[in-house]
Amino acid sequence: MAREATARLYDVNHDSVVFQKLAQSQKYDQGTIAFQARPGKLIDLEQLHESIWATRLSGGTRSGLVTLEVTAVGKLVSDPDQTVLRVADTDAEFLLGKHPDDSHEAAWAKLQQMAPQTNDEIRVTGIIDNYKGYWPDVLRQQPPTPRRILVTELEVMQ
Amino acid sequence: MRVSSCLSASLLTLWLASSASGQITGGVMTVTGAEMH
Repeated sequence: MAREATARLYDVNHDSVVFQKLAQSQKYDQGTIAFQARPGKLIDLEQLHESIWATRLSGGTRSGLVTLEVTAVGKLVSDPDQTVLRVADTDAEFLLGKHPDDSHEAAWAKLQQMAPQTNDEIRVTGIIDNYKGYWPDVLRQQPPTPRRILVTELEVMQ
Repeated sequence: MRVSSCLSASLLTLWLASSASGQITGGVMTVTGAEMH
C-alpha cells in the first residue's frame, strides 16, 4: 500500500518504484521501496506523506516506517549555527546533521570542510531524522520543517 | 458552460503539475510488517 501511494504521486517516475523484500527478521519482514522523480521534477515530501496517509493504513499490525532515505541537490547556505542545504531552483531547505553511524563519518567530515560560501552544487543523501514508527501514528502529523537529513553520502557536482 | 469548465479544470491541472513544490530527486523507504507493500 505504501508502494502504491508512492507511485501515485504525479512527480514520481512510476517505472522507478521498486519494492524489494529483505530477509526476514524474527517475526516480521522488511522491505524497501525505491523511487525516483520524473526527469526535471522533484518529489514533495509533504505530498508523499499525505499520499501514504490517504491509504488509511491500519494500526495494530506492527507495520510501519523504519527509515526514509532521500537525495537532494542544492547548495549550502550561510548559517552560523547549523548546516543548511537549499534545494536547487526552489526555496526549500534541509538542515543537515551527522548520521550516528561511524561508517558515514567521511561524508560529514567532507561537508564540514566545505565553506558555506562555496558555489558548488552538491548532492546529499541521508536519512530523514525522527521520521519512523508504526502506521498510522507516524503519519498523524507532518514532521516539522525544515526537515533534518542525517548525511550518509555527499557528492560534489561537476 | 461545459467547455469553459473543462478548460478551467485543464488549466488548473496544468498549473498544479507545473508548480515546483518538491524537494528531493528520489529516495528509499524501508518499511516493515504486514502492510509494508
